[in-house]
Amino acid sequence: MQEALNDLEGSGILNPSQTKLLRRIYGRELFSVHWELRLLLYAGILTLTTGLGLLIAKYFASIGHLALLSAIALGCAGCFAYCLRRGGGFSPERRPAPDAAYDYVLLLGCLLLGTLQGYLELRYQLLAQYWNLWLLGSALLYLLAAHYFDNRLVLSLALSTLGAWLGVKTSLLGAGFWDTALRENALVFGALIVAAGAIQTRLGWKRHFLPVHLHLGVNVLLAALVSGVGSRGAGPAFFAGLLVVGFCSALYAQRTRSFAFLLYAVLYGYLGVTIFVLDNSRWDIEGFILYFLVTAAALVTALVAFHRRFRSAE
Amino acid sequence: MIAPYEMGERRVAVTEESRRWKEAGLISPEQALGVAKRYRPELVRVNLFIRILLALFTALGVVALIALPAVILEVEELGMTLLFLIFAPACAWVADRKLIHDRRLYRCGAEEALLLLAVSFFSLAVAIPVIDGGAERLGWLAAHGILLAGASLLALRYGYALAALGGMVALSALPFHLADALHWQQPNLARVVLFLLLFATGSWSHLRLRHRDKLPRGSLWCLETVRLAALAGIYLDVNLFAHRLMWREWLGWSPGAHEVPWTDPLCAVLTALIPLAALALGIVRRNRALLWFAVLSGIASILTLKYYVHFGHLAEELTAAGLFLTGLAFVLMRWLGSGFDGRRGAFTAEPLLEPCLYGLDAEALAAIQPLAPGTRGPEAEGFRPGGGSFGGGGATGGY
Repeated sequence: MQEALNDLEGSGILNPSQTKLLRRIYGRELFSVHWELRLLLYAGILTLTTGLGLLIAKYFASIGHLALLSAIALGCAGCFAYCLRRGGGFSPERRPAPDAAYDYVLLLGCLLLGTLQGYLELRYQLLAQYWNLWLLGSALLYLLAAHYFDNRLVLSLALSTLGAWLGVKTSLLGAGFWDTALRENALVFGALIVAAGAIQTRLGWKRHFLPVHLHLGVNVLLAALVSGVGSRGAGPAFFAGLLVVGFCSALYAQRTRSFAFLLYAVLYGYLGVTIFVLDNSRWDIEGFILYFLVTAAALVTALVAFHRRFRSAE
Repeated sequence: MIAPYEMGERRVAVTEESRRWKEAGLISPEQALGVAKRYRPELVRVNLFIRILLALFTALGVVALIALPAVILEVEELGMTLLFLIFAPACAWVADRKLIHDRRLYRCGAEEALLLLAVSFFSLAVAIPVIDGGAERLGWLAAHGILLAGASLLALRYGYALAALGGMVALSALPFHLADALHWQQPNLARVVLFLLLFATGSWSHLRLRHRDKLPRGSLWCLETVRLAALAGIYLDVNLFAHRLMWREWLGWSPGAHEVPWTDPLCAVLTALIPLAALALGIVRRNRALLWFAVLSGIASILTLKYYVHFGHLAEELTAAGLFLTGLAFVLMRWLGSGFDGRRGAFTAEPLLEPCLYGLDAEALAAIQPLAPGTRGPEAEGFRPGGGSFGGGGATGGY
């Protein structure tokens, strides 16, 4: 790299101050431990919240419920107070974190909030058989926090909690109905997430949240559609839906050059098509092998053509 | 390493690095364009996700291609051996001659899958007649040896880090496979051999990495992979051994009954020392891979502390460990930040160019936002650390 830097400086592409800084970086005279320290902080917070959870379970009888509840509530309030004081308030645009601890303190606050809710339900059974509403409440609070404090980690926590609420809600409906209901809920959930992300982007509101919405939403949608392809009766409808969503995902990948969405479209699409074809055909073993041979060759050709047209590496 | 890669990798590396400079705000987009034009690579690369798809469907197509004549002709063991013997060199030839040398593909998925299939087919071609002849254990051992040799060859010739990792896994499993094939009822001996093998390969790669500036990028990644795999293998061995998890549950053998008394304390000490040694080496050499290994293995050591030091207070230990790790990170951040120009010696807590994920776009990792960087605009001049976003893989468009 030092040779290339000399060459780039000599040809006038880089100025001397730039090459001086880059030489220091590549010569390791300047070395960033930014990511290592963040990893340490993240692991520390996860260990701490796990330890606190175990401490509560162990001592809740001897310490007293009110003391424990007060301690958790105080810690949670402290975290949110810190974020409110340090953060610059709500903004529809991306906001840089005021300091390195900000994001992690917010995460800690949200996790403590979850612990507090769990403890309240465990001890006092405030919502009894409607306990799953705690999940919905948590998800909504996390959503609020994610948007107010501009945090994508808390946003993904909120969306996954919302998904968990839907799953739990479905499981309470009864065993026979569970599969179909879960699939339908997943379809609604995935479509809602994608739609919410698209609407936010259209309104110019937290545009940088869109990838979180899309990655989660598209995966949930495609997985739900694939699981329905083999079902009796509604199989063709799920198959058609899969083709439409897969096509949209591939189109989005091509337009925004986010090729992860092409991966989703091709993998889920291939799985769905294969299930559909195998379900609706009476081939012998040679036919199936021929199917895999022809489709693999066709896909490799298509991917090469796609790369040539859109120069995916650049 | 083959000549096209050795010569072409430099251009690929400069092009990729220039993107990171641009994303960190160290150079302007116009300058990045200038670098890209001057160092336009001759090698062909594709995006990471398309690479995964190409590898997957190439492998599927070739397996179907070999299965079709096998089913139509209803071949038995000898027929399969012949088919594998035909397809193994064919796959290697197509990958090496047609795709790499003629089409100049570089980490495109298709050629990597073909080479891996060539090694797998060859190992099966050798194993099948041996197993058919009644020597089942010997047959699988021969296949194991060919996989190890093939993975090493791929790592040396093409600089594939994944092949290097596969080679290390095969090497680690070899003593146990050998003991099983030769009916050695000496688990301790296999462990000693494993330890020696890992120590030797780790030390060898560590010594080779002292001349890292002269090595091609592919070789550098392979050596780094070998070093980390050796360290991880030794660490897992001593850590898992100490609480007998793997040995009892996976191998159905608990070492407690047969061990000399100092084995457990030694493993416990090594579990603590390995992260510290990696940390020290990482700081002295300013090596990111070693630092990551040190942080991750250090956290693992803290979390598995209860297996060595039996306080019997897991909740308190975890809370204290969490407080310690969080506090340590805060103190180090503040300490580095309060130094002259935001650094202490060579070290700074500001993001410079990291991380480089070679083709993985930032959006795929958006869900881990606190660990992900933000992009900044171009900086004026002097030391103004930028928040580097995830680097992309880049090269020519032709395939």
